[in-house]
Order: sequence, then C-alpha cells, then structure tokens
Amino acid sequence: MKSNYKLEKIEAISLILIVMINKLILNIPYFLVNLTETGSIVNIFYIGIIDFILLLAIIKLLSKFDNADILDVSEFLAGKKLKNVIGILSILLFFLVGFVTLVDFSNVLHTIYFSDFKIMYIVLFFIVGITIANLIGFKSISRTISFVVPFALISVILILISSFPHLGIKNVTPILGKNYYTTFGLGLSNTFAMYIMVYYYYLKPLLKNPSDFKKISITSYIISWFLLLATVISMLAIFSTNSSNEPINSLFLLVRQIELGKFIQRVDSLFILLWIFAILSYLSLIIFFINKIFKKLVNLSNEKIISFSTSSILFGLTLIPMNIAKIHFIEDTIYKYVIISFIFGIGLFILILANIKKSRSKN
Amino acid sequence: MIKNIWNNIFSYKEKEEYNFILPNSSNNINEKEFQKEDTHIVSTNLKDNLDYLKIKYNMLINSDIKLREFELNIQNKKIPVFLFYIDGMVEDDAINNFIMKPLLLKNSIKMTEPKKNQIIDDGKQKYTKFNLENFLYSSLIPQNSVKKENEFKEIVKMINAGFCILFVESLTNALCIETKGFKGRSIDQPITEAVVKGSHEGFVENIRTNTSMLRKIINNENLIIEETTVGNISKTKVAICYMKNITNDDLVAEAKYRINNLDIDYLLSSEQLSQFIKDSMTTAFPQVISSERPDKSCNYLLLGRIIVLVNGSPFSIILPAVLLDFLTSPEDSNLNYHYANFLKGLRAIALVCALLIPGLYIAITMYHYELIPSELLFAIISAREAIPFPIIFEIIIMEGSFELIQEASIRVPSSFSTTVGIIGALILGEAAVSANIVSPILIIIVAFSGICAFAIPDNSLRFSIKMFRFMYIILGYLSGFLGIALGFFLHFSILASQSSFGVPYFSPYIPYNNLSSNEGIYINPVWKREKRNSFLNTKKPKIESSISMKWRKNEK
Repeated sequence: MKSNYKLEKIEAISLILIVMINKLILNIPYFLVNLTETGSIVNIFYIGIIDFILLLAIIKLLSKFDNADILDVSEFLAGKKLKNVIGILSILLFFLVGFVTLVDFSNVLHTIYFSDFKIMYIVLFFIVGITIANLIGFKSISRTISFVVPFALISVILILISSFPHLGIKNVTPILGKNYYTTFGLGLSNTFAMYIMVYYYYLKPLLKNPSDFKKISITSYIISWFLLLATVISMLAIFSTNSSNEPINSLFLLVRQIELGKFIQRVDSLFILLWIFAILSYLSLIIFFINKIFKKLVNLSNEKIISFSTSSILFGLTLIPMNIAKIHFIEDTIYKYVIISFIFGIGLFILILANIKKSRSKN
Repeated sequence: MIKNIWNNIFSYKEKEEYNFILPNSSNNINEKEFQKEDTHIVSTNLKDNLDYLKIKYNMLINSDIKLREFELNIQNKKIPVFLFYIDGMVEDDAINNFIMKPLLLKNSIKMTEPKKNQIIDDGKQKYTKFNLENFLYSSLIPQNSVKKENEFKEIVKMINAGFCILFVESLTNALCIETKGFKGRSIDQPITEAVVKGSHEGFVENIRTNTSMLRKIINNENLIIEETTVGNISKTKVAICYMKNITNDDLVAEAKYRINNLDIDYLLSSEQLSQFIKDSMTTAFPQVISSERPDKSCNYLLLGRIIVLVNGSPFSIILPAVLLDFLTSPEDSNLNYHYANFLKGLRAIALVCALLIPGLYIAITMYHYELIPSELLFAIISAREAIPFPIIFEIIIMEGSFELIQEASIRVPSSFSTTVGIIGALILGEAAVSANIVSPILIIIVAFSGICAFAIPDNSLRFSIKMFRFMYIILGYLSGFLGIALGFFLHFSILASQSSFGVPYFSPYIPYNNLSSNEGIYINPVWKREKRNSFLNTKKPKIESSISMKWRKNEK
C-alpha cells in the first residue's frame, strides 16, 4: 500500500508545532538564554522578524513550483545530481536532529527518572516505538501528532502560567543584554531556534490543499514563535542568567517550580508521560522524513519498507559513547550552524536560483 | 470352580475399549459438485416432482419434512396433487384453513364459474378451455402471498424459508404459498442496553419482527430495507436498512458490496457478520456498533448511518462507527443535556481509568513514587511488607481473578451467580489480604478499574479495554511511565490509522472537521442539535431548522 496520505490544515499546523514543542522540551531556550542572557527577549523579537522574512521568502519562492519541495526544485535547477546531493544532506541533517533529540532526552530521563536503567535500554524503547509507528504509516503519525499537540500546548501554557508567581523582573534587566554586539551580532546565530523552517521546505507536497501552504506556514510560525518567546521570558524571569547554566531541559526546570499542594510532590512526573509521547511523535516524524527523502532519491515504491533500516541506523548512532556535556556541545555548535546553513544557505540559494531559471525559461 | 475364581482374579484380560477414530475425509464432496446449480424444472408428471423432492430432502431419514398427497375434484375430474413443507417452519392453522379447506371442500362450488374458463378460438370453432392454474391461483387459495414457480432452485429456497408448495398434476408451475410460522421469542426488554428513561423494547431473533420495529418508529417511505442472503448453506437473511433521502449513496453501495461479496458457508449472528465486513482485521477495538435497541438503531438511521439486521440475531449492526459512539449510551438522547454531558464525561474518564489505572499504579509504586505524598507511599510500602510476591505477580493474580469471577458469573445459571459473586468477593477480597497474598490497596485499584470498565456502555469496547489493561500493567512494570507512554503511543497510532467504512476512527476530532452542532463529545441541548455528523457526508445535513421551537418565536 502506498502512503499517499495528505495533510489537512490542522494536521499540518500540528506537525510544525510538535517540532517546536520538542525543541522547548529539550534545550533550545537554554541555549538562547545562555548566549544572549538578559537580552534574550529582544533577541527573540529580532530573530523572529528575520526568520519571518525568510519564511515569506520561502513561501514566495516556492509558489512558482506547484506541489514541489526542495528536492523537486533542485532537480528542476540542476538535474538529479543536485537533487541527490540535497537529499543526502537533508537525510544527514534529519539524522543529526534525531540523534541529538534521542540521546539528549534519553539522558534527561536517565538522569531524572530512570537512573537504574542503562541509556541504551531507554533509547531502545524509543526506537521500537518510532519503527512501529513508521510501519503503520504517515497517516497514523500525523493523526497522533494532531492528538498530542493540543495536550502538549496546554501543558506548556499551564507551565508558563504556573510560573508567573515566581517571575522576577530584575532577572530580565538590562533588557538589551550585555551589549549590542552580543544581542544582535552574536545573537543572529539564535535564528536556528526557529528550526521549524527546515520543514517548510518539505511541507508543500504533503498538503491536501497546497494553496493553504501560506496560511499554514504563517499560522504555525506565529504560534511557534510565541511559545518560544513565552518560554524564554519565563526561564529568564525565574532563573537569573547566572543560575541557568544547568544543562537540564528547559521546561523541566520550569515545571519544578510549580507546587500543587502536598498531594502531588513532584509535578514534573505528571508531565513526563506527555513529553515522552511528544518525543515519540516527533522522532517518528523525523524517521518519516528520512524515509520519504530516501524514497524520492531512489524511487522506492513504499517508504515503509526502509523503516527498519532507518531506525537501526539511528540506533547505531546512539551507540556512539556520548555524555550529556558532549551532546550539548554538539547542539550548541555543530547542530546550530548546520541548521542555519541549511535554512539560510543551501535552501534559500537553491530556491532563488530555481526561480531565476524559471523566469528565464518563461521569457 | 476354584480355577475360574483364580482366573477371574489373577488372569490378564485385555480391556475392551470403545475406540472410535474419525476417518480421514474419504467421503468429501467435491467443492465443484457442491456449488453446482440446481437446473431442474417442475415436470407435468406429478410423480417425477415428488420423487425429485423426496431425494432432495432425504425424506427417508428426515423427520420434519412433511408431504400431504390428496386429490382435487374439479369438473368431475380427480386431479392428484401434493403439498410439501417443513414442519415447524409453517403455521398449521394457515395450511388447514387457507389451503386444505378451500382445496378439498370449496372446489366443487367454484368449478362451474365461467370467468375461469378461457375462450379459445382456433379458427374453426370457439370453445372454452378450463385453466386449472389460474383457477387455483385466483379462486381457490385465499392467501395473500402466492407465487408461481417452475424452477426447483427457487422452490427449494422457498421450502427452506417456510413456504408450503402445492404441486398439481399436469401443471408446469408449482404454487408457493407463504405460510411461515416460526416459533420465536416475543419482544422483550433489551438485556445488555437497559435504560431507565426510554423504550423497553429490544430486537428479537426474527428479522421480519425487527424490520417491523424499525418501521414502527420511522413512519416514512424513504426508509429502505433491502434484503439479501449470506451463506452458501445457511442462506441467512440479511437486511440492509437506510434512509434513502439522508444516507450517503457511496456508503450504502460499500455496505452492500461487502455484504454481497462473502463466500462463506454459513452466517449465524450479526457479530459474525460485523467481523466479516470490518475495515481493519488486526485491531481488537470495535469498528461497528452493535445494538439490541430499535430506538437507538433508528436514531442512528435518521442521522444517516446504515443498520444491518441478521436473521436469528437480536442485535443490529450500526455502521460506520467512531470511537465516540462507543461512549454514547442510548439514554443520552432521552436525558436533559446537563445530565447527559455529565455522564458522558464520566464515561470518558472511566475509559481512561479502566485502561491505565493498574498500569499507572505499578509504574508509580515502582518508578515514580515521588509523585505521591510520603504518607501514602509509606502506607503502600508497609501494606506490601508482608507480601512475598513481586507487585506484578500480585496485580496479575488479582486482575485475572476478577476477570474469572466475571466470566464465571455470566456462565453459571442466574441462581448461582450471586453465590459466585459472594465467594469471589470473600475469597479474593478478605481472604487474600488476610493471607498476605495481596495488599489492601491493590484490591481498591483492581475494584476501581473493574467498576470503571463497567461504566463503558459498549460491550466490545469494554472487552478490548480489559484486554489491553494487561499490556499496560506489563509495560508499567518493565519501565514505568516510559513503557506506558510507549504503549499508549503505539495503541493510539494503530487506532488513528483505523477507519470504519471510510470514516476515521477518531472523527470528528482527528482529522479535525468543523464540528457541527450534533457531534463531538459535548451533547448539545435538543433544540441545538441542528446538523448531522459532517464526517458522514449525508444528503441532508440539517436535522432541524435554526429555530426549531417556532412557538417561542410566535410568542414574541
């Protein structure tokens, strides 16, 4: 059976939001605050505008290609060779993202809840889940995502609301940060926080109605940006920048501030069930994209058949011995710049050139 | 003599055991032979017809096949005839009063009636010819349903369905007279879907009674009841009911396509049929609704769904179905919407609790004890201190026993079921705690999850929930919340890919449709249930006008 399932509007928005929610569960807000400190709020507005301009550019540039993703556009631009190069780069990027997410979250679980378990055992649980989900198909992945996103959103909003009593205005001043260079110069690298941009390059052919692409992209972008802003404000206002250097996931730190009376002593345990569900959905989505790209590159009839191989490779990557400090180093350096160069460099460059070629061929 | 006694006591005798072994299938009937169509037609020679039927119905060994041979006295001629029927499937009074009496007593009166004589002009002279077949059909058999048939294939079908067949010498057609008279259960209260407010009528085994119950509620000519047969041997009657002006045509076509394309020997119940026509073969969750209530079935019928009735089964199949339907009680539509919503919400919570509570308990007590207050944790630990078994063993024993008691109380005669309940409660409750086999808190957990399961209105859903509960217990034991989240994720993924007759299982939420006023978990007040479910794509989306209570408007 071929997976020709197409996404409805809400499903597509959920798909983008699950990416952002996972980034919030993991350490993106921490990295932002770590770099720009009290200037993070201004920095979020700054990178938000830049990324939004980029998003509009992507929408505009893709509008000339009906139902096409970045692979189709690169094939149009320079034939199969470029398509293969972009495809392989994309696969590597998704593997990197999957690897970082999986290892990071498994480490968090190991540290906080399952210290008796080996990390491999935790990783294996995720691998089994995402393999089966991909074998069931994209339809079920996208529907599961649209189920978990409202709950995850509610949980994030609840956490943010619950953290209000702990906010300290002193912690967010000076609002422009250490200096202009850090906030606006070095802070430019924080554009990677809107990592969701990568998915816009691949979203259009998955939509039931490609004409909704603009609406879906803008809506999901605004919600994602707002979530990022709220999390960063909460983190910054609750923890002073000096004490926020604990490399534990951002939402987890916020949840630990919540008190629900004497009965539930550790509220974070309540959320962990939902977060595991969210991470499973997100990882399944990453594997789906890897399979989908691979299918396009080698003309496979069905991407499901390579789910085992893709998941095994991801599992193999997690076997590389890594401690949490190394993972955070990868996230803060390699991961960050790979994403920036993909979003702002390769992707945009190909789209611009392809548009020039298209307009020339019309003339 | 001593020798005999000696031999009887001590000598070895081989025991004569009765040892029947079922032989290999040496006398199998060839499948092609079995499927060969009967092409025989009625002969003008009465004896040929009789012999054929005697062989066909194995009359020498078949006890309930009845044959009544007699002679008609028409125009001073004696014409041999015979009646053929199956005892127990016909109404004796109908045969005696409306077939035998007219044929044996009244025929002499009618024989001179001129209208029955056909005028034949052969060119040379005009003369009247007596048409026996028309005479019998029009004047002698005062029955409302009489069919002329000359193919034995059809005649046999009708005999099997409870018709009485009249064969007459020299006629090429047999007269098939409807005299069905099965003995069956009278209309009674539905056992599995009892309600306080609402109708107390339930379906019975007779398909015609069931269709008439639908007709009784929906007095509209657009209610279509199409009939078909399923089962090469059983020829079970199946009725497909829908509202012609409401239900989506493609849905009707799909239902008919699936039902008409079943190559099976027999069909005994609607549950069996629902398994044959469901979309996904792998999932344990129900995909069609099963109901023994005509009012519930009619409600769904009027909302644009299809009802399938199977002869011999007191349950209707309602299709398509979404998960929310299984949380809806037939009473919901009769209750004030405040209560209905409260109860439906309670049922939704009960569903989650029935599925997850034992698994969560095991996960919390083993891995996430930081969640509960220290006092409660100490209480649990001290209660478990004297118990020698691991918690997984304890919980599986209790859950298993609970299911066993339930199963046993269903199987035993009703007079014993109370005893089984008491024994179960005493032994598994009091005694197990006193013997330090289980902890008291576990009894509470198991009892609570059991009660939650009973709050689920649909039987099939309840069974699947109870079954999957064990999976969550094992996952909770293996890895706490991690295992439960993984199990729930996979469970949800499987269900999310499922659909019932093209309708996604989590409709109308996933994929999200613009919710109409009459769908979703929230039940609107009766005056606000304006639209039918959008996921059904019905021909008539509106149920009521935007202002249904016109009297309120008129008052102004």
